Amino acid sequence: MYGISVSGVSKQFDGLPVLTDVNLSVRTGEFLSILGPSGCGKSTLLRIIAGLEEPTSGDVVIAGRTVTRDPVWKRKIGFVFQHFALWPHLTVLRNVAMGLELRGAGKQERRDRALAALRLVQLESFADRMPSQLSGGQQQRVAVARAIVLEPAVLLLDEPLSALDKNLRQDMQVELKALQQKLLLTTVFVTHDQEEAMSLSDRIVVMNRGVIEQIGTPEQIYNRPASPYVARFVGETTFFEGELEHREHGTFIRSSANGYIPLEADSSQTQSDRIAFVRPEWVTLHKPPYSEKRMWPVGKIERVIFFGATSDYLVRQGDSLIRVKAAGANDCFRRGDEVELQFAARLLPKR
Amino acid sequence: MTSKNGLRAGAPLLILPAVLILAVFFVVPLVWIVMLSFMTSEPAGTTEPHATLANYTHFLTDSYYLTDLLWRTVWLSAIATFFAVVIGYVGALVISRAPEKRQPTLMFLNMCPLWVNLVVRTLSLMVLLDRDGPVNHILMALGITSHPVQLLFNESAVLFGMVQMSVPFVVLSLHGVLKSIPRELEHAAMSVGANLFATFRRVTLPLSVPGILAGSILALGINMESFVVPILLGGGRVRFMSVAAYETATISNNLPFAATIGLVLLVVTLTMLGVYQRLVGSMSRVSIALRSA
Repeated sequence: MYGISVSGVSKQFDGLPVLTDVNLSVRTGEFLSILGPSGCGKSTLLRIIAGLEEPTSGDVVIAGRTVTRDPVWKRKIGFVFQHFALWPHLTVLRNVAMGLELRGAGKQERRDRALAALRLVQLESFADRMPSQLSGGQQQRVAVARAIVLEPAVLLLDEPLSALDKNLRQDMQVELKALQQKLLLTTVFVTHDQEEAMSLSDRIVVMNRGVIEQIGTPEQIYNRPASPYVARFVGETTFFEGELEHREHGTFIRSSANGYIPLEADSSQTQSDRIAFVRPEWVTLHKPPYSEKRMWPVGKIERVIFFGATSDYLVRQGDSLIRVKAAGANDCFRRGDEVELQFAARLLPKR
Repeated sequence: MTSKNGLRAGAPLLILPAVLILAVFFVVPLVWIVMLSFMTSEPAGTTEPHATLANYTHFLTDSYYLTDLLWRTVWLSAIATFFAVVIGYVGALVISRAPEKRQPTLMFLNMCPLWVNLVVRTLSLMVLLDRDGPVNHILMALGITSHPVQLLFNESAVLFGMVQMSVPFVVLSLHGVLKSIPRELEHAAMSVGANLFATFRRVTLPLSVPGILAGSILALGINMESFVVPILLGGGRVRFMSVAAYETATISNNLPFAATIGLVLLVVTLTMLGVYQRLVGSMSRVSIALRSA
């Protein structure tokens, strides 16, 4: 049973394609993020699911019911907007209770259920305030309470944390995830922040120019990206382009710019012109000479970036600047040091 | 730095021309009118320079002036304002929901009537409402009436004219307010189950109250003080304060009493607008909240 399924959805604005043949299924109770840069169509997709936009073609099914032609108010959705969108002329309680009021719930029931929803976001004591008297984080929590009070089939969030500052955003992420798991809400979360998507989601949809590039768990997206675009958008990446070459010690990708770059063991394909990539934490640095067979590429530390708990090195290797995460306190290199880079790059699937 | 300070010190001087013009052409005549209203007029038309309350006593004790003239003016203006606000609201809503790039054109069309001379505009309404005018032709063609109806020179005609005069101003003051309401607030209402009507009633309408009040203040002011419309469309049969003041001054040649009528109208209008303004003040909480949202 799927909470939401989107099939063959396309959308054009003034003849320009914003979404092209999008197919997506969200399992009941799943937390799914739609990740992509601004203008990739992620918000449009969410708004089509909500009914705030109509698709040019394709269908939307929510909880087993085709809702493509249904107006917003007939779909069982909760929606959280980027800029909170609380009604400024109503108290917090009445903001949350509006949906119940529209369903004709009695006064006592409205109050009880709205207060219960506010309790879930720890704002019960703010019920009688006006929205303008709350901080941004509190306002967004009220918006969440308003969205869940009707027990919707799906919860849709359009970059709900991007208007908050960093510390608050991280707290809200934890709260939101806890709430989602407690209520087992089918959730679609639109964001341009890859860390947010990684830490919250069961699965992530990576979008680019109105097309889904990849759907997968955060682990799959990070470690097995389906395209250079995904590899570049999620996490730090260094790419190597060249021809595959099998040698005595393993497989390499060879180019005039970087020389021989070692590939992971199962890279047995033999096509030429391939792209491989490496993540900062896959690389271990050694003082040369480390390996006698000169199997690892050699580079020079160009910059040390200190973050406090960790630091990164930018290592010049051939034409590339490879970002490397320092392994621990004992591996300390300085700018200008020569290093051997021990790693195995991963091939990206051929398109 | 000197020039900046110099500019700042000299800035008050820049409003001097405006102050002078207002003083000479507005305050002085107004003071003269006030003085005039306390004088009396001889049958021959000469003004007696003795201070007396006779004009005011005459006005405030005569039921003709109080109910037939003042009350009718207030009442007609209020009705016209009501219709102007309703019609203007719909217009402003349509314009504020139109595609962004078409809005300036629509607002221009809304303001167009104001570039046309008031008398010309009113005369064109007379053509429209004439016994032999297009409105009567349409009514007869539709079989609503068999012979031409008298549409001019009555209160309805005056109402019609006043509404037509004040609608553009209502649209102007409501358009900005309606545009400033984020669409997300309406979408949020729909997401919790409000249909279009419920969304309008619970979100759009309450949030546009400051605009409604501002628009009705403008419209009421314009309607109460209107002169061309009641004199032309009323054809002398619809009593109206401004018309009465004009006729008293020109036909009866009684300048002091005309001044009194004018001042009563001014005071009543200002009082009504003042009360309204208080209402707006108490509603501004909403608009402040809206701005911070």
